[in-house]
Amino acid sequence: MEKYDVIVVGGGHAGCEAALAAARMGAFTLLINLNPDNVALMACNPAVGGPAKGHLVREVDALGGEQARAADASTLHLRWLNTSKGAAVRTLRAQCDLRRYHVHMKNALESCPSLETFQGHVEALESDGQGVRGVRLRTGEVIASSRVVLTPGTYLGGKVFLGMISFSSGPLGQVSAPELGDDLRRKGFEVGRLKTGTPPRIHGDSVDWGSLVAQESAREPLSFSFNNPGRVYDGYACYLTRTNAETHAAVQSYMEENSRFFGLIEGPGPRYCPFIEDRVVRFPDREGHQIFLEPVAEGSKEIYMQNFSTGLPLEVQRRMLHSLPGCERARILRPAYAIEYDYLPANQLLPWLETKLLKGLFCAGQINGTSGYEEAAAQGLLAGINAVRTLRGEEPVVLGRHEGYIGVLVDDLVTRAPREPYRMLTSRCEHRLLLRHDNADRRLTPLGRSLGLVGDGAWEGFLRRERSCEEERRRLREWRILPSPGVNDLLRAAGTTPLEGAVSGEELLRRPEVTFDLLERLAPREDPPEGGVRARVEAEVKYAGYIERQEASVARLSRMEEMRFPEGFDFQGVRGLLAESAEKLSRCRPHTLGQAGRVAGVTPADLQLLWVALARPGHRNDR
Amino acid sequence: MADPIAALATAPGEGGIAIVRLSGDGVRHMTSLRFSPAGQTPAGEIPPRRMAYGAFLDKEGTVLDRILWVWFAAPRSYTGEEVVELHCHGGYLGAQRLLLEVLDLGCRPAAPGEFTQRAFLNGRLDLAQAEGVLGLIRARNDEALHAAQRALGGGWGWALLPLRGELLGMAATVQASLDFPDEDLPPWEREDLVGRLKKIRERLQEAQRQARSGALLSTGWRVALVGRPNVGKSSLLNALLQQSRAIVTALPGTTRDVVEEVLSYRGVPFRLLDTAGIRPAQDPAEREGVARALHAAEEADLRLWVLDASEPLLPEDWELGKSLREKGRLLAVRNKSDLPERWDEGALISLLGLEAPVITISAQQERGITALKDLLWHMAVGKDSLEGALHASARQCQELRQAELAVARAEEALDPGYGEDLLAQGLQEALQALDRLLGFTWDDALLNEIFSRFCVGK
Repeated sequence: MEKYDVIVVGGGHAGCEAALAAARMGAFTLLINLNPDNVALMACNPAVGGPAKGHLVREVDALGGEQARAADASTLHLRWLNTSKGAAVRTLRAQCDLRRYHVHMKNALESCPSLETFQGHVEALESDGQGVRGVRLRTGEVIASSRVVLTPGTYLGGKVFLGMISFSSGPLGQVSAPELGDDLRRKGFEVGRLKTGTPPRIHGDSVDWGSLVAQESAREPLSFSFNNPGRVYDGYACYLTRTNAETHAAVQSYMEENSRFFGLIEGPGPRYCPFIEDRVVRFPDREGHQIFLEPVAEGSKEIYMQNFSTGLPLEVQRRMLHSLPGCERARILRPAYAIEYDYLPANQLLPWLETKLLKGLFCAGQINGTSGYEEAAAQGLLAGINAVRTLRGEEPVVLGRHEGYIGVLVDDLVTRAPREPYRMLTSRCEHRLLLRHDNADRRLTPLGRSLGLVGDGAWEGFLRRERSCEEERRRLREWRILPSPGVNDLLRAAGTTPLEGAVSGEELLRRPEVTFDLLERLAPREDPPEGGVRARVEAEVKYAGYIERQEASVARLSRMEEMRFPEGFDFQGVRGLLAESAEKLSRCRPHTLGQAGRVAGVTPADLQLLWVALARPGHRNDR
Repeated sequence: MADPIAALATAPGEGGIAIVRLSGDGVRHMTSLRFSPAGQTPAGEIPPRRMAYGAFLDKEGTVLDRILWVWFAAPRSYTGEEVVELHCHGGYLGAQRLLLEVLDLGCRPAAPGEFTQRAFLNGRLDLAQAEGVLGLIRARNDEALHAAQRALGGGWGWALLPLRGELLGMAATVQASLDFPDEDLPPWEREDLVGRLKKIRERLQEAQRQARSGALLSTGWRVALVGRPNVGKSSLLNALLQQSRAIVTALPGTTRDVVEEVLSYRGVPFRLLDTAGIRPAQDPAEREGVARALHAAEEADLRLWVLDASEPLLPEDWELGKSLREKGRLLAVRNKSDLPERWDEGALISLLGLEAPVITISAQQERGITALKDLLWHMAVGKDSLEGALHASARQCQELRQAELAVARAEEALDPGYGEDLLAQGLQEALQALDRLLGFTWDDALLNEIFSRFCVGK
């Protein structure tokens, strides 16, 4: 077998981005997958986006990743979320055709020059003690490479639970890969267990749709990718039903008879409730929980039941299902299950997703303790980029918390090593007014271009949007709006005070009640700017004061981010540091003083001491 | 290795007992050589934390003072290093001599705050405590001491933890609706939030008033005595202090540098700055004095504009009064009321259009001095009550202010037309400011709150 620059193990949402990024940067790349028919399998909800997750998708797109394009190529139903809650949290969510999503991604992989795909079952890593040297397949074959990206998802030591029954399995009946986790343990990694779950899929013809409330797709043309024209999607809706006392009784009676149930799975689930049984147990006062019935693919009768994940046995699943309005006669096509899998607590990673223990080994996706296709894709992209960067002796790419949700995600992972499945949330992000859905391209496309990931077409589109935003900002500043009965009637109708003298378009847009659309109605134009430009200009004008303040706070914090700990820095030797803090820091091995400040349990006093220690002459070190 | 340092631990010039404190490697041995205990136990064998009475000797073996000697073993000491305290009975001067003696033994004089800094570096204090202790050191009187002790004892925590809890609850409610728009979460009422935020903001303002009182008690109020030469500024300073510190002569331009004295009145320390008389000076030294005087007037919290009531008002007075008023708070003092008066308060007000309070005194005869002190006290304390004063460092005051501003922004974001993202941002920024103030570390408090209160899924 030839020697590859980069090997990616696992063709899920993280692995596809990693392989594509590495190959597009010109590295000779191999993607090894257990089953090529499962590339980018949407093993749970066939949906992309939502608050914070949608932001990640846009950032992956801005950097030159594939996820947004795959979503656009397979969307069945698309809508805005948080429309009235402000530009910082407004985001898209697409219901996708899981087959078309897979086909798009498989095609992207297969048509990418310098990328090869191969069906194989990786059992172990080859290593020379210092760094990774390649992978060994179950067939005994060894494929050499000094850069390996692990993206095995729930296949890694996967074990499925249906009530008390459990068996070794990957998601949706796929095979699992138990050997690699043991190999990682042998090599000295800490390997933990996590669990997640999925709801049953039911037959669409067995649902009484007439009794349910439909949620239609948006009527305006929309797209996830900056590079695709907006489209209106017809023909598919999502439907709403909810659990009730009978559903909850089914859960409770099972729990009473089987008190052992909760003890069976060793891996902790998330604090949010992916399982309906967790919801019932933890919130017994709730009378019902919303369940969304969603399409999974064109030409398929299968229906996904969002919010109805469970690890309970099949007969309990049926009782619960039949208690739901509209689902009294529903037939289960695929049972729900809980799945437990191996992961590496992410404090074993450097901020560019390379393991501290084994040089050249990168990890992305569920192996790092995250959940979600978007979180996986974002990490995969970064891991792929950095596998190539480090191979070429270049500075790895580390995004700051103020530069993107990707930066927040990776920093949270490597600093705080979540011990439950980590989901991206807007509340995790302290600079969220800077990190909006609308400006992901401005934040990251220049970086993507410099890495060689953004093609000429996308780059020209970006420059065009930038120019258009500039022009629009200038037009608004220069546009004098004079008070007139027509203008003032429109303003009054919008609930704002009428004009007494001339104001600029920008001043008017700054009023909370005035939208870009209202301005357009004051002076209709033949060639209004596209939706993305409008959204960004509106956000920039309205949030100007807030953006300025956040930028100032970023600048204040940047000094902490620039103070790096030298390699092998002895935290135990820092004078005056509490033993407990020193231990936490030694475990996490933060890269910068800023990161140290985000290690749980590290006090401001500790930071002062570290600062003193770093500032002391002889301790300076610029990596 | 900690090099030995020494300093007076008690405020100079006050009280009958003074303490010289030493910290660092070898301070016990170093001082025990010069200490001759009155009891049976030789100096080298006295256990830590036990006060021993005896004589402290100079290098000739003569008794310098009868003192109490005590040592603390590292790390169980104030600084975390080996510490020695010498309690001497000689008051300020005796302590000074003792200090010079131990400096001769190989200690170096401690830089301001160095003991606290070492305590902090050795993990004996956290940031908030260190700031509390720095205030403690500066505390010059009983009331300030009381406020500083309360901050050390968790006074901030008591005042602010309930506020933090309430903000956390609100932030969780708002944030949950942003991160989980498809969950049927309990709705929150705009009106309810408006009322609760207003209350929180008022409580933060109250905390700032308490903090300001604490700051006033520990740092004092700077009062600059400014006026033309020979109007009696130095006499007034002496009258206020009831002692003769500044040089008082009838020669104009006597005070060439800024003289600073501390007047402690009704619990508030006033730092009185006597300045050179303001006039077009010929002598370069005097010119420098005038420049410093104007600078002191600029920096002060209050300007005492001293005028001579027995001399007619000149255009220069008008100029000076106008420029002082532009610098901030001003109090006009008509001095020399013992001499025949050439003008009255009304003249000053109508002539100068002055809105500042005017008080008439005679520094020479000490008439009106108590009334002047009362007026100073009222101007310094203002509406803030000294009751409930909390010691606050500049940083802590700043965080309180940040929290208040963030709450105000959250309130503004409740107006129609603003997004809930701004509301959530304001609440989170207020929480962060309180956490920094209380010294809480980065944690998942908000997410814990969301996940424990609301049933949210994927």
